[in-house]
Amino acid sequence: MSRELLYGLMQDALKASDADQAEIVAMKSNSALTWYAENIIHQNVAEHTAQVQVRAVVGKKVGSASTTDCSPEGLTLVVQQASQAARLMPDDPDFPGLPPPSLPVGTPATVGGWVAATAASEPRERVLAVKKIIERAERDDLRAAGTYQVQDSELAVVSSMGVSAYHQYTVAVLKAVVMGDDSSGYGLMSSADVADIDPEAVGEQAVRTAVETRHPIEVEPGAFDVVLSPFAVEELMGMLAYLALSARSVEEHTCFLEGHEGEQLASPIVSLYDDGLDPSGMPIPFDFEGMPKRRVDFLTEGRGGNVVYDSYYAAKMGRATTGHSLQQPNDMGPYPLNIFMGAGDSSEADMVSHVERGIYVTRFWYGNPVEPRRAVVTGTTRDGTYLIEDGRKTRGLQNMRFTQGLVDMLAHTVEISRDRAVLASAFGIGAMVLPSIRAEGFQFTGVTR
Amino acid sequence: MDKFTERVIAGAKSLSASYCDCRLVDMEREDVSVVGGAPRAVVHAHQRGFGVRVIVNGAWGFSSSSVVDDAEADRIVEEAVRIAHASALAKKKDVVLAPISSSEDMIPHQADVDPFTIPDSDKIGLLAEATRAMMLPGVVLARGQMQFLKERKTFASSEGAYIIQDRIESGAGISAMAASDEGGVQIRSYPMSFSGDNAQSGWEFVDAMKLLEHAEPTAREALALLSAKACPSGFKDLVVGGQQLALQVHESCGHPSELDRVMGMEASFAGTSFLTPDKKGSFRYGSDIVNLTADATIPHALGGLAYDDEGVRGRKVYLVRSGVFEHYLNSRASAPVVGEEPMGAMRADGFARSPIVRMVSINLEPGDLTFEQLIGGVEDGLYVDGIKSWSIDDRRLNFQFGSEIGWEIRGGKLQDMVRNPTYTGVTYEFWRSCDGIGGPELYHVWGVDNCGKGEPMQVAHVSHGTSPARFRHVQVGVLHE
Repeated sequence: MSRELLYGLMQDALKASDADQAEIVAMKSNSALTWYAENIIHQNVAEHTAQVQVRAVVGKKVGSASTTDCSPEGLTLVVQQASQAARLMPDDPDFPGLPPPSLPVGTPATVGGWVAATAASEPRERVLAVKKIIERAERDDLRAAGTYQVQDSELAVVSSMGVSAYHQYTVAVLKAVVMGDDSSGYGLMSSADVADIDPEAVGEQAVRTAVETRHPIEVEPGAFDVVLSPFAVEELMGMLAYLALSARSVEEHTCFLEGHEGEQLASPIVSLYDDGLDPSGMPIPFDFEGMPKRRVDFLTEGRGGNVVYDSYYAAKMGRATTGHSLQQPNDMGPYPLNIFMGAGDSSEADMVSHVERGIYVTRFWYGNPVEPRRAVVTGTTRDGTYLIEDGRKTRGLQNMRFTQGLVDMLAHTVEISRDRAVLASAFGIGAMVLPSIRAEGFQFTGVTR
Repeated sequence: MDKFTERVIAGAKSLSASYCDCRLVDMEREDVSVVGGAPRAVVHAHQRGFGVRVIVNGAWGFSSSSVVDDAEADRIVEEAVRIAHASALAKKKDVVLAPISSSEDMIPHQADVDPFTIPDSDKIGLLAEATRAMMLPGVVLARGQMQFLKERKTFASSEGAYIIQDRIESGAGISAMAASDEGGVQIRSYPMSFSGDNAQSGWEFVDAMKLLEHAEPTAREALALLSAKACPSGFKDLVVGGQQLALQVHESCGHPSELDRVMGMEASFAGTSFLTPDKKGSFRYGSDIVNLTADATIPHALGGLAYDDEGVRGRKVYLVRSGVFEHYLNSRASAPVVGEEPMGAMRADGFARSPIVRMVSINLEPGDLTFEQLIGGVEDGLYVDGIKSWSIDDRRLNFQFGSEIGWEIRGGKLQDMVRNPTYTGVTYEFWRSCDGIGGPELYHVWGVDNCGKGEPMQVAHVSHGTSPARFRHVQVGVLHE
């Protein structure tokens, strides 16, 4: 279905609404994934899905309905269902109405992010890329597992308030976990352009880590200086986003920024922000209400900043929307889908060389909050944990459990790398752009078997 | 067989598929969320689509679409076959499916009152009243939610299976968050945290929760936690409440028993498992009184099913019997590798995803102790319940869980309330230390609707039958305050 046809269908459906206000969000996606493990491909799948979500407003009543039926009849029906649902609802005194357009009507922002070669990629290409990783692992008697996913997605928003926004984007993500008898390694690349994906590099990185961390030893838990790869930083920043970077976290009193705007909360070298328009990430020009993305600075040189808002929370808290609505209505609140940490002036090798005795972490796993207010989280390391001695990664370590306050970690961050990795979101939209960091006094609280 | 699935199967056969199955799914969902007496989100969602799985040249292919018509059926079958041909480029050996007897069956849902016939205004009204009742001074946020699902799933295979299954699910829960001037934040939930409790039942299940009656006591516990003492640190005897134990069973028994995970198929996402095939039949997973089952046949259990998404009839197996690891959750392709019969655990999330090995209802069989006997057997310990936080390593060995609430136990009696209780351990050491399990009168099957696994991520609805149980010498109060 062409963009024009989709728009036409949505506009026609909008006209069929008898609500005071109506909004239609359409998401279409063609995605495919090759899933491999133990050096074989065990699943190879494709899916072609569409979802249309309608919000109808009658006075202060809000109703919604969604469907996978994108036919003219299906869209008309779901618009009517949303309107009927609204009339049966009680008033929502906090509902501010659908947001008016912030962009000139008919001229949605474009930020790139769609690559024809990715949209047209074939299963055979994915299989041949995966074969390269498998063959590389087999050369070292290792076992490779992972996925190669490509996605071609469209997001369109129209509303009776005049909002009209459309974005098409592609995503390609190749991931490898390579395992030996007592060690494993990790590699990942993601880009809008499938041509950027280098299976040899992904495989090499994972194999090298698995080989270097063979025969891991155990160290007593405690506070260590750590060097965290971008993959490890991603897990922690994902937790921070969930706990503390949105208006909902302010409402729930789990936001460390609340009441501390401008105060020095983290190291002066740490800047953390969300920017949906930065082409060095995976940009999204607008949110699920069609509101344009605005950059939000959570931490600027360590000083406390703002959180992200959608129109509901913005009205409730007397702020402006920052263009971070998820699909409405929802119970999640607004969410940052394009988190960046500002680049530093170091490199991973430099960071390791500055550690007398510490730990290098390739990945964290299964992070979960222990004490949300202070963003204390727990989780374990995986896929390549090294002991650092006298400025060198000397050997592999048994995976370890950490229990660490994230704000405290950012306050004790002493080095940040120049290079940053683009890490596509598991949500299928957006990405984090993150460096490696060195932090002091990171709390490990257990060792795995 | 209906004409659509017949067309899919015939199309796949004509393209040389040695096996094909088609799932046609028609699903309605309703999610209701209320905050502080006002509706926050009410979502009605309908999805319809089909997924086609084929084996061609000994390799798998799968494709799916939300457009259900003949032309799309032909296109999706062709794509699934093309994908299978590509998969075969890297195959080491052919996929072999364990034989099953193919069924023709029609399975009705288990609800008395279809929750979709209850007006939204009634659902919102109940949650609004409950959340208002929780807004005591000091409570900063009161949430309530309900979720309902109605599904018709048609499964057809090239082996002659044709199964229609209807399913209705209902669930609800409320929670109160209290905050102190000193910055403390505590939460308490009823009947279970996150999305509450869920079952394959109708509105009667929500009605029986008596949310209104429990609203104020739930809020009062959240307030009391603000001034409760910090969880002590050290090694103590631990009594784990049924709700918290559901999480323990889920993370430390359910997931590591998934045979695809054991075989490395989940390694790139959620990891592997310590329950390797060499341990089957001999590994001391827990103490003699620990019996863990995978049982798809429990009436109304959220994880129950008549047939899985390979057309295998669901049944009961012992994962752990008398403390010894005995059986896996498996699929038609994986079961023969470890000498098992398929037991009905292949499930897909909606129409768009290919089935993978999932939990059904994973249960700790009840023991014979009363709650008083469980507590009475502890000289110096802790009682915890209410799921708050969970983390476990990628082999499902080292875990650290946090509960909403705890009480110290001294001299066989519950004493002071403690806040932020946590405990940590190694799966088999923990279960081996189990020396008491509550009796059938304390047993409840908890419905969990947020179990994530697979790539792309699939969410499964599972359940866990548990009674409170007692564990000796467990590390509690992992230092973080």
